[in-house]
Amino acid sequence: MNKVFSRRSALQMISCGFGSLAFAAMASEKAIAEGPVSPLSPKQPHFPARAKRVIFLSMRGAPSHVDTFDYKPQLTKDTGKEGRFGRGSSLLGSPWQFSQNGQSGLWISSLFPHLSKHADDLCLLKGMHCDQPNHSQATVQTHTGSFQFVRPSIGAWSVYGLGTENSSLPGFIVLNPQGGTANFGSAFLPAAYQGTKLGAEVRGRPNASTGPVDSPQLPNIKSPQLTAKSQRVQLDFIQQLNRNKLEREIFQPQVEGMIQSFELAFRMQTTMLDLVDLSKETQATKDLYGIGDAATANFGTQCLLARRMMESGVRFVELTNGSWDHHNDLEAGMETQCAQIDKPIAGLLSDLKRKDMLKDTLVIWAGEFGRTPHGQGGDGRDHNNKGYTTLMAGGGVKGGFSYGATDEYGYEAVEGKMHIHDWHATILHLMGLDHERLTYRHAGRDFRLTDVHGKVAKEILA
Amino acid sequence: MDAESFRDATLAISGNLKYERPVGSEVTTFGDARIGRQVNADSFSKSNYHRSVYLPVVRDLVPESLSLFDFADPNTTNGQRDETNVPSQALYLMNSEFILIQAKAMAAELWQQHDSTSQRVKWAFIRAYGRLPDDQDVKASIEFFEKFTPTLAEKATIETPKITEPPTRRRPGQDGRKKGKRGRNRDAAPNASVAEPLDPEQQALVMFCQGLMASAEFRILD
Repeated sequence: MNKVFSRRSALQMISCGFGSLAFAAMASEKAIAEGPVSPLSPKQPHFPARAKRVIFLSMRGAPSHVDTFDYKPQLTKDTGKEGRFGRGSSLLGSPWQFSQNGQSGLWISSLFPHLSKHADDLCLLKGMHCDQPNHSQATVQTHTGSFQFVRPSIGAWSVYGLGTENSSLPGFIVLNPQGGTANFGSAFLPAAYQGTKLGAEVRGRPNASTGPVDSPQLPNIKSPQLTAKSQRVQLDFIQQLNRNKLEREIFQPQVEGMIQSFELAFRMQTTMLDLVDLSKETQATKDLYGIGDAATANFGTQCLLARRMMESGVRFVELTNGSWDHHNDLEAGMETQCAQIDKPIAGLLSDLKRKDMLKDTLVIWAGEFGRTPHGQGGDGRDHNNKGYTTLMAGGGVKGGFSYGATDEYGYEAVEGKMHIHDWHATILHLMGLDHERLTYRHAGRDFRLTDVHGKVAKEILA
Repeated sequence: MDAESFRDATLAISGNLKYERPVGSEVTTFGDARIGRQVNADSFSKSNYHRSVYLPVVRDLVPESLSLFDFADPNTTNGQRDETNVPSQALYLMNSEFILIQAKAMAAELWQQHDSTSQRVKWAFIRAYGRLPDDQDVKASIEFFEKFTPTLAEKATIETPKITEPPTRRRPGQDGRKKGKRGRNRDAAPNASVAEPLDPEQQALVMFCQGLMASAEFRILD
């Protein structure tokens, strides 16, 4: 065989190895800066956290706010009149009745018969707005704050800020992931903070969330043929090769990362299987989440899994349901979609409460934007990023509370306005993190989840 | 390596890589089936052994073999690929059907082309790393073969995973199997399409090849 030079060996040989010396110096500076502590070990928050962990219920496709949590009687009255943007668009009042719920009297539509029973735990953020009316970009902005650049996901920032409580589980898990890696990525943060995707993405999208699903797909979680013992021997071999490489080349953070992630993967095969084994849950608990019912089975399973993950010390879990992109057939679409999540979310809140975890678990419900008060094609609604509603519960937010408002029709946030940056700042605040101090140095400057923006909505803090 | 290069490299060392261009888009072979419903991303990649650049990416349906390794979001522009290193990649390398099929194919060729374990090990390193194994590699390999085979005794026969037969590239003369080996299963190479259980020695070779595919040196270009 001819001798082939790697870039590394070229550095060592060319110019008497000065390149290599420089590389080694830079590399060890970096190694010292990073320190020997695992990037995932638990860290102290900036100030006492109200929310120790987060469940983010991500509603893909953008649910309508005016049909769910943003009651617009004026819109109903003016149904049929020309909408704000003219061109034949006419206002479309919600086909559903709204009623006041709980002692707080929160207005919630009849689409959520179960969830509305928890009105006094809910905090409605009705003045939301974001920058883009396109799904892909707005979804990425909801996760990362930026719609145009690759930035770390809020889950990644959370684990970066707080570490994780269970070293044999990932700190940030995404169930039934939809959409690109950018939503769950760590971008310039170390890869260890990236979301671990579990679930049905590979089985197609987006309506993987319909139909009965006994347990979520955990791709490649089990060897199709090896016993744990055989696989351990194989893994020892892989790791020996990796360590040999590391020994030869001294500084190779990528290889170190691989060694770590293989060990984590090997442990995950046991811990994850235990974690997703719902057979130990009682029938009553499964019923609470609607797992026996075809419509609610998938999201109910996701919710129950999320609770189990929260109990096991996972910092941030994202669940996904969709599609909510009701350009047409609003009535049937919303009935179907809401039925999929209503009981499971109500069940999750009850269960967390029962386990006394709701007080320090933040549950967030959000789409990437809202929908237009005027109809589209008669029985649908178009995209609207100027005003919409998201929801929080538990983890230090006021229950039975409504914050912010859109105009009389629901076109635009006018009061208690909350941009995604403000929303992020508030979520981090609840986790005990100051969004202005949670920074990471990259490309010569300190980056934040909230860029140079963000204002904590103190009004919603319990 | 980025996702496409890694997939191509895996196919290349398994001997399965098809170098020629596919005729037409594979999407057309699914007729009117709804993409994203009946047809998912992995329908395209499962038995498609062409270079990854020819894999269809329909809107945001990205096959697992790419999406797990930081393929760019096809919905938006992306100036730079992420480089991540997460357990889901490790799980894929250890447990996925695709990698296992490639490991089997690689082992099958090594089995047929070389007579001894030491030769197979040597050529496996040349295929995977483009270099001869050094002393440390040889030591690690010997240790693997010594330790691995006894662990198989726990299960008398190895279940062959459910594998749909991939279209394999056949080279002339490859069917001329080696004769006169010991044992019953000797003639059967650990080929992807072999239905009967493998004997422990062949099984070990498959897992050895898979180990190389999963190792850092194969995945990282220096």
